[in-house]
Amino acid sequence: MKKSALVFSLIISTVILLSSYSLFKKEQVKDSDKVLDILVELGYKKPLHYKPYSSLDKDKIQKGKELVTIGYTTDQNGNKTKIQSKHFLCTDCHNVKQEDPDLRYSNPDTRLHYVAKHDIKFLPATTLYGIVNRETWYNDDYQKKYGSLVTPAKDTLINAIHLCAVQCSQGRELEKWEMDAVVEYFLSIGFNVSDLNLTEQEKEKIGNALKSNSKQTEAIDIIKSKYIDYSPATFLDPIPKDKRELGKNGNADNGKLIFELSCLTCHNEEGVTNYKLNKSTLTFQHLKFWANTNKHYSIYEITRKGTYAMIGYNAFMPNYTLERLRHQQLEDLMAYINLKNEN
Amino acid sequence: MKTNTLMIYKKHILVISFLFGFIALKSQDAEPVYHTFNSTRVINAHSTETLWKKELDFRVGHRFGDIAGAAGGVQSAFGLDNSSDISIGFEYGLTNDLDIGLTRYKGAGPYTQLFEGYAKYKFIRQTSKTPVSLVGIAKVYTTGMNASTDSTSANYFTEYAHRMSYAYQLILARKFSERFSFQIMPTYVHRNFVAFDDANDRIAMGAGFRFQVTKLIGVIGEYHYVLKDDGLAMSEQLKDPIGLGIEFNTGGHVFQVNFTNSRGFSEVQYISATTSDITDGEYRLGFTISRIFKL
Repeated sequence: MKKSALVFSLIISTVILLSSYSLFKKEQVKDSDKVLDILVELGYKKPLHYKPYSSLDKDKIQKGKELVTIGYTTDQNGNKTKIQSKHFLCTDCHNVKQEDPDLRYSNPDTRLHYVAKHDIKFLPATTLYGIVNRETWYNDDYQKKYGSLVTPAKDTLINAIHLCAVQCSQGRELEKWEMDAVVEYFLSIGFNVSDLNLTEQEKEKIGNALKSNSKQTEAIDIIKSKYIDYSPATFLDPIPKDKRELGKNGNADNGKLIFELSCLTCHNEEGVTNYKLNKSTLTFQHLKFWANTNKHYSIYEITRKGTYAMIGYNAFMPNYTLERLRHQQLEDLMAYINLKNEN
Repeated sequence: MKTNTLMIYKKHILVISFLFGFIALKSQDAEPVYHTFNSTRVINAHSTETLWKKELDFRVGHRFGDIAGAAGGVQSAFGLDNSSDISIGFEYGLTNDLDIGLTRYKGAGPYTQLFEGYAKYKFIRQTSKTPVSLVGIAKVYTTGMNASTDSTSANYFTEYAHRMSYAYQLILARKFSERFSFQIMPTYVHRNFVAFDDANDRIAMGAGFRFQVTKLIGVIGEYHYVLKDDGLAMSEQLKDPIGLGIEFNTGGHVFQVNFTNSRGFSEVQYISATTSDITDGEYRLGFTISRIFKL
């Protein structure tokens, strides 16, 4: 009898312990979870381009990646597709990795050092990493450049991709299956929970909201506070000639990074443009000679104004916005040019 | 001067096959050297530059009349009233190392209405481990001019093969520094049919240079020493073609302004038929505009 009572007590204790664990267990989201999946599960509005990460097709992702990074892929019959643009690859202007250390800010100063550390480029357009987490595209001053073309692209990723393919890269329209593949690739490089720098407490709150279907708004707010869901774009006029410091207070080390990670991306010997730059004396003398002019050889002018596509040679230089290149960074670049002229 | 047509074709097919039968020597893991010259031409002669794959180069060139001498001076606005030769052509990069081209020349010298087709291949590219670039060019020409009834004339064409000419060239170049490049170019020209007392074959050794003054402006020059000690009357009239020019590189296109004693653009003209003497003021202003399109 005593033995039976003991076994019964043990069973009861085990049940109570397990129940307690279940009740008070800390629910956390996983670092590898996709932010967009969590938001949708929390009841946040579902974007038009949304598909759950678990439903993505590996083959489509690969095809999308190829279109973005090498400009072509293979169709359903295994045949190579026509190149999307003979002038640009998406990756000539966009990174496909995280480029800002803190996703809450679009800061070219911190970005420059972050991209240098992670061996990626310092480019004029925003990264495609996390582009599915944005809610608007072609923001702010892009209206000045593309006019009404940005209207359908502002709130729909697919339209933004289309605009970029046809106007920015001067290429052909994507076929529907190609667009699907590109979107799947972008969804695969959407933000992960690990990118948001959440505290343990915040992870628990989100985890619990997912489990209990309560406090979902708070969880959504936490997530949304961790990144900017649009890419600000402020166009600037070139610094007037009499206001240019010509590198006087510039940081040549930063300038070297800008020259290598930005200028030489397109202006290297095999780059997209015929206007070649390198680390020769001739290049640095040339850049210094033209710097304080209003000509397009001036770094102050060309970075803010860019160029336009011309018939027959459509590769053009996009303008750098305030959020992609600060005036001070141009002075840093000029300081590096001065330094190379002295050597 | 007539030659058996079949033999002519066999001979040139053999030379072309030899040129393009080279196995390209490519240095692995070496830093390539770019822009030995700014354009695919120095002045008249080709440089070792080739177009990138799928690039189309649209070239327009003009050679005016004599600046000085009997035909020059103020009366002809120093040659601007006359045109010795005009070229218009397209060149295309089949690969980064292989170009093909088609050009039509107004023509100077014995042949006018001249069509040129060529293939150009870069066998060796200068790199950090390879000191020079080597390029081979094979050209074929035909003229659309009316046949003469004078059997001593260069255009006494009684069969189509007489209208054909060929040029083969090897170019060995080195970029010595960011500013200075130099090339030598042994050249062989064969014309199937020539005037009385002229030679079907001409051999020349050419040299060219580029001195880059600034990033955008360079000085270019070339000279060909033509072998002409064969006792023929025409050979005694021949002069070595020489040219000096300035080129402006604007990124999208290269603009060349030059002075040369040769009246024509193509090898079959400037190697085989330059009779203008620079010391008599028989040199002329010329220009070439090259615009590259990406196809």
